[in-house]
Amino acid sequence: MEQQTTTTSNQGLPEMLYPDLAYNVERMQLEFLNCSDILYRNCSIGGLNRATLIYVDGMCDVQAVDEFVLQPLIEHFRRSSMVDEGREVELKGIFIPTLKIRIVYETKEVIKAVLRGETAILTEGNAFAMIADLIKMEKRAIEEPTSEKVVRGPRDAFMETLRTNTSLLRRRLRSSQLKLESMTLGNVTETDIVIGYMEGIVKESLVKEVRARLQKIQIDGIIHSSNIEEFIEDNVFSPFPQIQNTERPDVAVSSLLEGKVIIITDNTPFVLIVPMTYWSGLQAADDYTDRYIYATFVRWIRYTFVHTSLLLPSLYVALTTYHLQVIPTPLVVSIASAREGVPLPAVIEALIMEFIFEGLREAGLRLPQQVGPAVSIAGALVIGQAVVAAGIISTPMVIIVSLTGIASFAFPLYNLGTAYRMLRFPLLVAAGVLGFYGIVLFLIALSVHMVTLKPFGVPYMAPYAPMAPGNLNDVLVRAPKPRMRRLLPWLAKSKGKSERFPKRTK
Amino acid sequence: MKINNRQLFWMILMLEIGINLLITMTATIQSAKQDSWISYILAGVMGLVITYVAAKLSSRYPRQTLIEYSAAILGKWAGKLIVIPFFLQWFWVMSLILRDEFLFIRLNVLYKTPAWVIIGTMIGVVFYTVYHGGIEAIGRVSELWGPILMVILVLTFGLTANNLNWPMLLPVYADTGFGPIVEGALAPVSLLGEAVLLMMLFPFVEHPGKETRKALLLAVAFSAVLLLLGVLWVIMTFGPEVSGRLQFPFFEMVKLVYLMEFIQNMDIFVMAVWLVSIFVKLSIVMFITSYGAAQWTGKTRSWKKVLWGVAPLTFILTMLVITLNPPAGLLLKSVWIRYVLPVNMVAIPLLLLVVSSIRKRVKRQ
Repeated sequence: MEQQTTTTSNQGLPEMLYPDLAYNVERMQLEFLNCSDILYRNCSIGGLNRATLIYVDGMCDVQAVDEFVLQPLIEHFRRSSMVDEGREVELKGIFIPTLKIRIVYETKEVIKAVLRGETAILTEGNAFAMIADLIKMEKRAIEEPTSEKVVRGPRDAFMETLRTNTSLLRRRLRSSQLKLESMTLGNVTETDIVIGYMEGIVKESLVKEVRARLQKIQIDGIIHSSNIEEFIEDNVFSPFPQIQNTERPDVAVSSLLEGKVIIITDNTPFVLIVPMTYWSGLQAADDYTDRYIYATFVRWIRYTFVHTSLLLPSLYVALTTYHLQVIPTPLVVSIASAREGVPLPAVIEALIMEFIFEGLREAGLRLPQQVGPAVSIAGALVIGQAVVAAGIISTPMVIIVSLTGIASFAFPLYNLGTAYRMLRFPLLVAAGVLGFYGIVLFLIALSVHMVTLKPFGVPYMAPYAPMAPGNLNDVLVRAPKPRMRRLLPWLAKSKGKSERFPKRTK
Repeated sequence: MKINNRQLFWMILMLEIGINLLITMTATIQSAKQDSWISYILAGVMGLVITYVAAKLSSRYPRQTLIEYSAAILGKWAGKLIVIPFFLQWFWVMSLILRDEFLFIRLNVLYKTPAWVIIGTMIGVVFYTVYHGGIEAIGRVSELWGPILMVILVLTFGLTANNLNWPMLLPVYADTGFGPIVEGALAPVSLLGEAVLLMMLFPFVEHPGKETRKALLLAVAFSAVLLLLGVLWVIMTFGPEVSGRLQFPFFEMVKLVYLMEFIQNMDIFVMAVWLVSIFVKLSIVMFITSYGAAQWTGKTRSWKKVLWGVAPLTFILTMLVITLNPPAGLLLKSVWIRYVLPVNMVAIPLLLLVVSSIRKRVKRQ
């Protein structure tokens, strides 16, 4: 039989089902050899097998299969003992009309349908299969987002099921303008992907670009949306994320309204948003629910902390090593006395401490819950007290490192924070070698890199550099919502048509 | 690779202020004493005129650089010959700036670091910028840093205000007279006049036109005002005698900041301003030098290959200048003011403008 399959595929013709039920079932059994989760249920009347149901155990609603498929079939076969051939319509008519059923003739399609969770019904004497859509998979309930918490605002988060995710969007966007194009990616996994955008708001060229980049992906499996991310990014070698991810439907919806495109991947609770800008990574969902004055204030605190997380250790190293005169005299005295007896130069000290902090963070992520307290106590004691008491590390350095550590979690977008956490190390080396001069040079090079990033044609640092003054009211401040009525010019459909209704709710 | 008018404004502004605030001040104060501010006003006006002429000339050929339209105006050979002084000027500028940077860094922060490290890292960053991003990246970086630097400058002016002493400016005009004031204006005007390199930048502007000219003039005017403020502040802080003897008077002034016993010695922040602005200047000059050289040889597309030659050459020239160590006065006065200012900034643009208008009139007839 295997030979037969190869010959038919060689001829380029699709392999079709045969009128012989036993043959068809055998073909399926060969295909699903050693697949213990595939169930075959025979429907024998008077010793003659009249039909076989094939489905994946755990992916379909067994009760519904019994009630809506098996029972009508048996009743039908009891009434007519004759083997009926080639009467699709009549056979289809024995099921209740609400049951979604379709007829397929190709072996490949039957296999695909079964793997998707549908139930295949093969009948004796018919060279076709009926596919009943009775998929029922285990899924968790909609829960609160874990990485993007808010004080005020909706509490639902995306989850693993694609259709639930699209329903979360459709619930908020009751407009036929919301288009959800579907495609499958991954040669083996056949993962469902949905590209979402607002027709009439989004630039067609952007959608086209996203579609083209997705179609170019050649990969065995899409396990997670991050697999896609690295395939469609503009600059893979940049430390900065160029595609935003969110698990909040409200953020996704507001991005859609801003003319961005979202990519939903099955089995991933994180939705990708393209294109991303630096500033959108620094805008938290809470900014848009708080009063705007407070939101502006908090935003500036965040900006300060975010840049502190990058600069503080290296500034400390540069100032204490090269430019002591900048530090006020009383402070110099206390720093110097704290550093007395510390054998390491400041830059090595900082590197060690930052390294330990990152190690603790990484270990803390993976700790089994039972040992968590033990490690954190050891970490706090060792880092906070013992190293200082032993005179290996100075107290100011502990303060600096812990401040930096806290500051590095002020990022609303986790992977933007990781970029800065990583860049801290080369910056420390630059500060250790060339002092403040090294810091400035590093920052210049970094800013050059950032302004040259152009994810999907939108400058990364927009709307600040290049500047779009009409959009700065969502970057430098958080203006009252009625004032924020412009799309980014790079996302607007045509030049000068960036005006929109005040509707941003992210 | 396109920049817009706003980016051009910031580029010219940063190109003008950084180096001017630190370097030319001493020369001016030496000759014009407490009337240096008059020199700066004079220099500002002259700088505006020079910029206006260059911008006027460029807007006649908005899609061409100086290298291209000089050939269009004067013919192929004369056009190519007449731009050679500019190449000399650009190499000269780059190595001078780098030398000043090195001196400044060595004097103020890194006392023992060898010259090649400081020069090499700076050229490395500039090379990365020009190679990786071209003029677009330079424009955006200027736009990104410009406002931040303005804030720092305004803070410096504000924080040093309590050291100011009005009577230092007196008597006005009586001590110096016309000659010294004009002589004092030459140094700043020769650097403000560097805005003529806009003739190379013009075709990169998105919609070159009236707005571009306005942005350019605004940038020069704005930097002239900042320089004027700077020199006023310096004279009112130190008096004409002391500030004439300081190598970097503006920087020394910032060191005097003393507030609430806590905010003091803000000088490294001013150093940041200065470093970023000379970075912008170096990148612009390196870009136009490579691009211009590529155009000059007729292979515009391979300007990045030319850059591979320009960057090392700059490094070698700078190291040469540092080793030979000619006196600063010689470099600025004898070469820059005597040759570059009259030839590159005044004579050549004027000549091109006149010839092109004659040609236009002849054509019309």
